[in-house]
Amino acid sequence: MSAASGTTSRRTLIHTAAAAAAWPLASGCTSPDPPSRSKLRLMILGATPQLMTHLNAAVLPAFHAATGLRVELQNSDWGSAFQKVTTGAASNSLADVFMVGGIWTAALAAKHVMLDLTERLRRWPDTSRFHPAGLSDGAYRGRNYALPVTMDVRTGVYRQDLLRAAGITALPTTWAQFRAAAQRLKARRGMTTPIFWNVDKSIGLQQTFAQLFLQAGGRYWDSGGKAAFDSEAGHQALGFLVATFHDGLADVNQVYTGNGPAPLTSGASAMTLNGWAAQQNAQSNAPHVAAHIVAGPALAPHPGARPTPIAWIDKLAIAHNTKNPDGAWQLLTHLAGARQLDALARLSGSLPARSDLEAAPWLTPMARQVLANADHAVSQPVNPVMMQLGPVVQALLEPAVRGSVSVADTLKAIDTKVDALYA
Amino acid sequence: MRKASGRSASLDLEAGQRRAARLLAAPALAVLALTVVIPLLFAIVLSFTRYDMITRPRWVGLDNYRTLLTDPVFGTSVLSTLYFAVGQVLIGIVAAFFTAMLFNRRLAGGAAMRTVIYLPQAMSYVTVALLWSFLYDPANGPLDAILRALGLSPLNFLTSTHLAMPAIIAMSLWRNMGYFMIIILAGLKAVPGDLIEAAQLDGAGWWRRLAHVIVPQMSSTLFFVAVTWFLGGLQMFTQSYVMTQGGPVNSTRTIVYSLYDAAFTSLDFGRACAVAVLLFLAVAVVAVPVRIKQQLNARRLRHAH
Repeated sequence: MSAASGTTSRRTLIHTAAAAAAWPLASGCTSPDPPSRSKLRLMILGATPQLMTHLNAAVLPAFHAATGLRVELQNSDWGSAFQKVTTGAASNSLADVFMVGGIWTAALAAKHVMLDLTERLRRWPDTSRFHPAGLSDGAYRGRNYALPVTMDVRTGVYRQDLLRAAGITALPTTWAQFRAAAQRLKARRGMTTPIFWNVDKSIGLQQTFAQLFLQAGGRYWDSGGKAAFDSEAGHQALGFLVATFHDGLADVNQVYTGNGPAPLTSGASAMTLNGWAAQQNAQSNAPHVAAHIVAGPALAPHPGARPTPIAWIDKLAIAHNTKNPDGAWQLLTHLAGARQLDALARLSGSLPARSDLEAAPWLTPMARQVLANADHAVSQPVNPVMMQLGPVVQALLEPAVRGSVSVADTLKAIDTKVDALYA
Repeated sequence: MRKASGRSASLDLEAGQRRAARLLAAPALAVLALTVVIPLLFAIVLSFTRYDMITRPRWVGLDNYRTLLTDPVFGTSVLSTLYFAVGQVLIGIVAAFFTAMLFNRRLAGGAAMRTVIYLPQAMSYVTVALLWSFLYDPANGPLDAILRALGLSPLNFLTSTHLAMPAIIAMSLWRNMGYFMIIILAGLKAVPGDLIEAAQLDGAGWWRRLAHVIVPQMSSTLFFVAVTWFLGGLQMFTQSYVMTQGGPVNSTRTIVYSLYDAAFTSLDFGRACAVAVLLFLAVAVVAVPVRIKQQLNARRLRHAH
């Protein structure tokens, strides 16, 4: 009897333990918050606390009052954002409306992560208010997948007080003038690194090269789809870039880590290719410097060539698998409407991608200078391999600017690697 | 007859106990299978495919392995990983051993100092990496500020291809040394005092006592520390990701960084899984002989008793 009861008790114990172990596993397999048609999720990237407060306190409650749709707000840093979007898409848990970075459009559209917005955008009266470069940055193979919301336009950016102190009164319009100004800063002010080429731990150097390459009229791919960096434009752009490092006008060790004053703000450098972000950095870290940071005209590789500013555009897209595409479109247009977008850009420290907001009173004179370039700005090619291309090209540019690999060999290697991305 | 039925009852009891043991272990085994075995098998299968997580996997045979093994950047990442793992273990064991020797004596404030040395272990790698990135920052960091104040040229800790990995090793040592020092200290305390006294009576000096008594007595502990620290080093990622993003010129790109890059930048999960499988095999090459050696030692000890 006692043996029997002992067996029973052990079995009971085992069954209880197994049930206890299985319960959290089973409950973990169910979705805690299944998507519904009356609730949307919005993923914003790199939102400031002020923007989050504004969205939660004003924008989303107003949207709920107008449509009856509740919105759950998610904020992510830019560093891990692409990973979150792709894993979200893979696990069918991507936010209904989400932010899309500069070169993400093709990578995500090619994998059917985003809803095709072409027809909706055609019918929306506000579409014509957006800068053309922004709209084309959200398009892939003739279809629109994302709507531009904020942007920055990269052009020559300078510390005007330091330039004036070196006797430079006219801002450069060509590469030769840009270089001559740097030489003068070095000679007259003893500045060790007059040019800051946006070198960071990520792909800042590649982005700078991309700007110079596009300014020189370069195309990433030829008509046959082959990589075309090893071209006249490529040699001009990389030759110019490498020479500034070689001649001590720029320094590979001047790396901006993303925190604190950038080299223009600290005065370690006086010239860069950047946009309003350069002044925003000064505003945050040394407000007395901000007024000295000015945007110059877009640079041309040589006199007579077409100057080309480069646009970096953040967009909003709708997840392909959203349960409520109409609701998501309502939310997207609500956020991209003039009034909301004005606040969204102002609170995120970005420039609005709508041309009817160019006269917004909060825009600084430099912001207006930058936006003046927006209409003829070009953006990076919209291509599915752009996400991989950046790090690949960056890794090959690093030895070139350090002088350990020649310009010609670097460009050949870039072509080989970029072609291999397609293989 | 009674004897036979007694043996049968004993066998029944033993079988019942075995069954109960299996049943009791079943939940843990199920969790292990779900979290380790199945993902491992899944990764092995995926390593033979081209897979971006969004569209269906496509079978590519050994392509991912062929690409990896002929890619010079992956070769660099293997060498960088070994540089980090071996460098950290060699310097770390010596530093941790002598620090433990120091704490093995009666020191005023020894407990507090031990806590201070162990404390970085409680911090996350990301926090430590961000902290050290600031220390190494050439423009705003204190280390270069001190060098400049002393009239020396600043060092480009994280932008020099020669200094970046040593700088990361230094940071990792700072974070990990306390943990391994505590393990070595426990081993030191287990060395019989009479053995050291006997060696001292025999005229052995400090160095000979260390080399011929303490270190041999500590061999199992030191071996354990070396293996676990080395295997941890093979999986280095966070420091490289936060502090240098694998640069400059791939000098701090590690195997796990390559895995991350393949998975989340290139969306090539097949190649990422191939990297993971190769890393798993490398870890197995180190860990399996160690495990076999431990088993043999244990068996030898059982026979000796």
